[in-house]
Amino acid sequence: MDFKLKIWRQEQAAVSGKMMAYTVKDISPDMSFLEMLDQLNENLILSGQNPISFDSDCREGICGQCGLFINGRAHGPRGHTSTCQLHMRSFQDGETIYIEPFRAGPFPIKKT
Amino acid sequence: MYFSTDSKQIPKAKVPQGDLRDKWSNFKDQAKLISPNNRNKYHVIIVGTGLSGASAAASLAELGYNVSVFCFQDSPRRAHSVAAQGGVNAMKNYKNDGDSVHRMFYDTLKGGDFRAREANVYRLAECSASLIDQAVAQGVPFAREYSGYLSNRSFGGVQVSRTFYARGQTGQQLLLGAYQAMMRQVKAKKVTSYTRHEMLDLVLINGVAKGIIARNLDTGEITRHTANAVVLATGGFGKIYYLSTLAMGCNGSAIWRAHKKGAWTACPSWTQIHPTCLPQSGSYQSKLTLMSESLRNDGRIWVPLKKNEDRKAVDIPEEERDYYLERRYPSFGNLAPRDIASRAAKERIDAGHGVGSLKNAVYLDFKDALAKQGKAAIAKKYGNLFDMYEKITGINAYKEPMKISPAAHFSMGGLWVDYELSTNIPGLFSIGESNFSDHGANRLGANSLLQACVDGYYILPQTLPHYLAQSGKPETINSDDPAFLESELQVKQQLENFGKINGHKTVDYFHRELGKILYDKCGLTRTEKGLTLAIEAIKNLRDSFYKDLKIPMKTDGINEELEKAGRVADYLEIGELMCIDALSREESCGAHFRMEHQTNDGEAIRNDEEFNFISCWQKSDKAPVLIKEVLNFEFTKPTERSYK
Ligand SMILES: Cc1cc2nc3c(=O)[nH]c(=O)nc-3n(C[C@H](O)[C@H](O)[C@H](O)COP(=O)(O)OP(=O)(O)OC[C@H]3O[C@@H](n4cnc5c(N)ncnc54)[C@H](O)[C@@H]3O)c2cc1C
Ligand code: FES
Repeated sequence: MDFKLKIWRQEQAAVSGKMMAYTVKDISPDMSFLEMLDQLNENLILSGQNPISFDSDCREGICGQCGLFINGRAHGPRGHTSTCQLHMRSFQDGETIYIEPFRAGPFPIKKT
Repeated sequence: MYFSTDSKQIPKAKVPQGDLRDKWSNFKDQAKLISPNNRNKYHVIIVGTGLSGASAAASLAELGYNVSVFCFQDSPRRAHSVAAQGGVNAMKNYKNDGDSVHRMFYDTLKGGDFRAREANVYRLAECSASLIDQAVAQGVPFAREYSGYLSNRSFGGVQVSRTFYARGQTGQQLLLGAYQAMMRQVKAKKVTSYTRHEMLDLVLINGVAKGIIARNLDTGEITRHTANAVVLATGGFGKIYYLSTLAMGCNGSAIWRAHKKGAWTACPSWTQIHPTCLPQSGSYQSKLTLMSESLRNDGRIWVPLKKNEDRKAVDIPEEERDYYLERRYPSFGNLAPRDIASRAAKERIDAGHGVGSLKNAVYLDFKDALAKQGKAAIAKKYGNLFDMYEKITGINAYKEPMKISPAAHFSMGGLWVDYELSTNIPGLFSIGESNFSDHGANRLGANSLLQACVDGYYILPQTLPHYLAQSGKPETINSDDPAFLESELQVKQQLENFGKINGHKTVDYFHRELGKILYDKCGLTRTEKGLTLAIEAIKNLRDSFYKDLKIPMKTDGINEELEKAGRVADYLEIGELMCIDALSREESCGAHFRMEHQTNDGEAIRNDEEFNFISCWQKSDKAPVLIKEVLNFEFTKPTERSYK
């Protein structure tokens, strides 16, 4: 599967951010959303760009460390599913996906 | 030679005198105390806020000591204890099924294949009952019977029911209890919590642990922290295999950096590889999720008889299926213990019978149970697991069998500790999964939540003050001491050097490669040849890491790649010691299975004559040095573990 990504990039809390466009290719539907971002980061790092910062730890939906605002909804399209448990089969091939940080007091933006 | 042996050094286990039943009481009777008005003069650092660290911090602060706790997550309650599902063991004998402290002690010792210290294991069983009362008092919602009594389950390797549980979230609920007890002390200003801080070095002054160097993961600032004692509660390092049931941030760095300062590492290669995890589905995968072992009660495990089978599971007729656990272990069948079930799966997968797109899994089939008991009954027992399976794989396991595969799960090995949970460095303690203590060569399910809690709530609060009381007047430690400055400088240099390499490969590349080597050569089965090859391969990989790594340069501010680089640099050293440890132990015991030491029908041969000891590894400029703590079985007689 291929996707167009629009990701909110912000270097620090104090500076302003903006939406940036990326593409990812050859994504397996069995990949988790965060693994898809891992793959994007791998490419960004190797080409000398700044990888996207996002939180995760357990990656099994129990610790509460992950959380992205995906297509205008916290943790994406499925109910009862944390971002780390969301898989790419929940999206359409070729789709544009909007990824932003939470905008909530308890989850301040540090870097994206 | 890959290592040398020092038979002159005899580790001091400090096991108290007396009968097994009296040892812990004898210790407490004689332990030195610090009076309440003096406790305030001592400061203790605890690295880690999982069950072991949080329970220790809460208990020591309650006693009156000042405590600083560190964790790399943004909240102490996200420590990986949160992910434990199945339950916690305790000897309450609520079921009246013949349980006793001695039986629990013996089950644990035997489960560990007689490679642990009797006195420690006995104390674990002895202290277990109090934990349940303590947790209930904190409000931990253990499952109850209709009558209101706490409910128990049975777990592998035992014949009684002594496992307490809170749905499939026992670790999370226990951790919330410990976390709240600790946060109460944070509010009372007895505990200072440093979240998003990673310990990067241990500082010794005149050979005694006096503090740590940590990095603030948000700002990149390197800070010095002094203390009268340091406790490592940093959890397991199974993530060294890259694919594992551990969290992304789990690491071996804290214990390894202590090792480099002189702390012994015990039996680092003893890793529990859990049989029922979701298989890897592609090279991008970052994590293997555990599926509860309880599924093996009704699911039947099989692989196709034909090699490289390409038909779908449902199209393979009954007579072309190999139910290999039932075939090899007729009496335990699908419920054979973890190490045995995992090894049997690997044997079939390696022989070309694996299933799934990467041919790395076996089937766990509910067809017969569904036919016999009906869908409703199966859904009632395992509905949440079937849902979770579908969420991750997209497959409906009511219609076709699950695919499962073994995954690295728990580190029996860790820092060597004596009976008082002190490492061989005075003032440095290690608790929870980070130490090597009670589980021997194989841990029984539901015993590690117990160990983490017992270490933190009951043992350390007795033994650490005993150490402080013996070490004279509380001294103020100067964070400008040359030892701190030197440590800080080294840490900073290492971080800067990672950025300067500017090669062509990411940290994850090196981590994945290391994981492959370890799974293949130092995983479920080990051979002399394989381990020798692995040691060379890891050395080469380490060389190429320092030549070809690429991470973003900056050391200030958030830089996840820099964090990972430090962890993987340590893994590349720990991995080598794991292989040396496995190579040096020419026997099969528990999770450590040397192919050269097995019976004709593939069962482990333990060698008590030559290997009745814990391997303690000491760092040296040349090859690592092996020091042996010989085990004395005064109260039990080691027997053979058989599940035929
Ligand atoms: C998926 C899963 C299921 C399990 N299920 C069970 C079960 O049902 N029953 C059972 O008994 N056991 C189970 N276990 C094992 C058990 O959960 C663990 O052994 C136990 O919780 C470990 O607790 P701990 O306090 O030692 O470490 P953890 O809870 O892992 O905590 C480690 C802490 O150390 C911190 N840390 C680590 N390194 C550093 C560093 N360098 N600097 C600063 N901080 C650091 C972390 O931030 C964290 O706070 C399971 C394990 C897993 C992975
Ligand atoms: S990473 Fe733990 S809940 Fe998502």
